[in-house]
Amino acid sequence: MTEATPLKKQLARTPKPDWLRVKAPTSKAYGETRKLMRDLNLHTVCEEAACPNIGECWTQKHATMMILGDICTRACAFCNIKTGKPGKVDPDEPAHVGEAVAKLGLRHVVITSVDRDDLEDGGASHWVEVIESIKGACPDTTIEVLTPDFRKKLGSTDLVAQAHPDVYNHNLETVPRLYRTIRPGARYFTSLRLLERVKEVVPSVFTKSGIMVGLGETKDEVLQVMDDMRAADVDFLTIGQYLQPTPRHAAVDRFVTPDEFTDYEKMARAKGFLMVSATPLTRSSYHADADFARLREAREHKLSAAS
Amino acid sequence: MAKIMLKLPKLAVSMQEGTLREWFVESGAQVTLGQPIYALETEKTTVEIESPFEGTFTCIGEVGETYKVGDPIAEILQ
Repeated sequence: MTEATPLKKQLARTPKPDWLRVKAPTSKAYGETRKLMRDLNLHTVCEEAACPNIGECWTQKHATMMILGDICTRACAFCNIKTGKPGKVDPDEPAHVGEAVAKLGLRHVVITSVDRDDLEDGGASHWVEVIESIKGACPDTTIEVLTPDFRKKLGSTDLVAQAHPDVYNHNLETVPRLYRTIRPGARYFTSLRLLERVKEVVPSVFTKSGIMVGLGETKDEVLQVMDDMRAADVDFLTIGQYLQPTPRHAAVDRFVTPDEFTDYEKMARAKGFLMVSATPLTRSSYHADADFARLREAREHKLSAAS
Repeated sequence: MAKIMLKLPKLAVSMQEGTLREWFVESGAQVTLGQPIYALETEKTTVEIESPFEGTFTCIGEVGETYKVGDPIAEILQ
């Protein structure tokens, strides 16, 4: 009989609340999605960020590809992506992303990237190539981008917006007070201004942004962020529970209850967001496909009510 | 009869270890393919692990203990 080898007891975790229980990724479709990403040398934020929803999403072949490499030039305290000096940009990546979207048969795709402060345009021209490649390979697929803040990269946001993705997402991540510890390389106003700018450049695009809760923010601070996003004309808000990826990352301050998430959703809807997703396991691209359809319906409904 | 060892799975690139939180089956029970067999607490969530085979089940790990990826957790006799 083989003996199991328990580590020291003090390493044992405090049990997670019941609402953070998920199924292990074991389906056949999950395996196929994983193989395709390996074959095409593509990275996904699903794997790199240890996303809890990977089993559910990949079973439906909903993978969020992460372009521009798997090494980020920022070191945010909440994020599991590796930090360091990134390698050269893969010139075949745009074609590979287009091919992957076609093979996965996606109606709606979400693309994200690491931060590339080392590149003159922050990676914006590569973003444009990826968007164009997807449009070429899958003209009917709607495209959602989740970009970095392009801080100090004048014109980069405009460039990506002008490639006409259907949804432009950029996450504020947390309340302004916590930026210095949680998102030290970013600035709250820079990110908020990016969202406003996208709407100015391409008024027809849907804008989307999200925050994590459970990092020590207060309810009033969350409501202020909602107001700020609405002032920047953000259409879609996502709120999810922050989960610590490794002991080296920021600790969870508390687990926000499902009822509190429901309250946040009601308050956000009252503030005029077209779409709100606020649940413990909400992530930026969780259910993005179905939510995009609802987002479009909500805008049409609003426009017809106004006319 | 083949004896198959079930090891603690690596569920994320950065995962090193996990805490066994609950058994859903007892030693000696017959399990079927896809049946939930135990709950594993990872850094981010509690994950329900399903049986990859059918056969007679034996628990090895202890509830509440933390194990490294690859450590033996259970056995299935086919």
